[in-house]
Amino acid sequence: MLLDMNSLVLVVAGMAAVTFVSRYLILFLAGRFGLPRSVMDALRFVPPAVLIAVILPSVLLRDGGLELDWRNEYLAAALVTALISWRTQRLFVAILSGMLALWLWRGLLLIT
Amino acid sequence: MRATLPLMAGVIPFGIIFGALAVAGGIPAGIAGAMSAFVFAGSAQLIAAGLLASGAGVVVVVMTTFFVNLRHNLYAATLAPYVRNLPQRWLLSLAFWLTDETYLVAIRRYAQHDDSPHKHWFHLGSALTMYGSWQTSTWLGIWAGGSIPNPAGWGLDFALPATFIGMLIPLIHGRSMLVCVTVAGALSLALNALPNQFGLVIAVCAGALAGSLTHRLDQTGPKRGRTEPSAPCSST
Repeated sequence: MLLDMNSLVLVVAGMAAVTFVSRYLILFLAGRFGLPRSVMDALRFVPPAVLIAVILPSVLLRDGGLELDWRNEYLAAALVTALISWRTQRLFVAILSGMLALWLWRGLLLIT
Repeated sequence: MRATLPLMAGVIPFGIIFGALAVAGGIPAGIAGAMSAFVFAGSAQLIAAGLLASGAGVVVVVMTTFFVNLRHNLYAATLAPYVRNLPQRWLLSLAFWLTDETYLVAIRRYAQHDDSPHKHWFHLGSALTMYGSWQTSTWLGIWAGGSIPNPAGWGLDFALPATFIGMLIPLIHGRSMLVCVTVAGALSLALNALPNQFGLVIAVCAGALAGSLTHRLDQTGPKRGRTEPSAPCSST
């Protein structure tokens, strides 16, 4: 269920604010007080953590339950996407192979 | 800007994907366009589109954006010595248009050993080129996404996870990344029942923490381990 229009405007405003602060604050302080080294190290791990935390529930959970089953076509397509991405390191190729795998798997499930 | 051109080639498809997926997820075109115009942060926007489509609340989306964009602090810290003497209006504009791509191009230019006093113009030029490409490609995507009827029936609901997988895999290098991804992934599943996707925020914090701890153990372990078995791992 999507938020209403007012909340969406709030989302955009909030996103713009937090993004601008993290781009500007340190420039403003002109590097006089750098972040502690440990925080800088930890920041590298945020993007992969966010990505996996968005990917896994959308691929593995169906109606609130874990679906680790070959009949889960999203799981099959996700594995193909990951494999192709690993081999080619190319975003577009990986997405297209994943979509293709999803359609093929759905076709197969219809037959069996 | 010639130095920015190869990066534009990477950004334009990304913008099209964002626009198309946002409208496919039910986000109004105006909101998707406003996000590109005012937030101007590719991965954060894609993740926000995914979260909104799955019913996340305002706080979770904004917090996630905050975490994803924390890395800009790193870029700003590296750029700061080169731009500290510019007037405030320059700092404000360079900050608003700071992205991964512009950072990479600009830092290379600043680091070159010539004394040109106009390097910040190069920086701004690159930034504006990226901004223009991002706006144009977003609207192309919005237009393309809006003209496909019943996107979920085509399996287009998988396009977003597929995009994220393609973004994630190249990031995974080494043991510490694996630990980070395993912890964050397991917690995201375990805590999925929490309201408004709040489990995601916890999963991300725990994953990043676990990853950086492993990284620190890996760095200090082999070097210090032999001479000083009980060495504390906070040597940095």
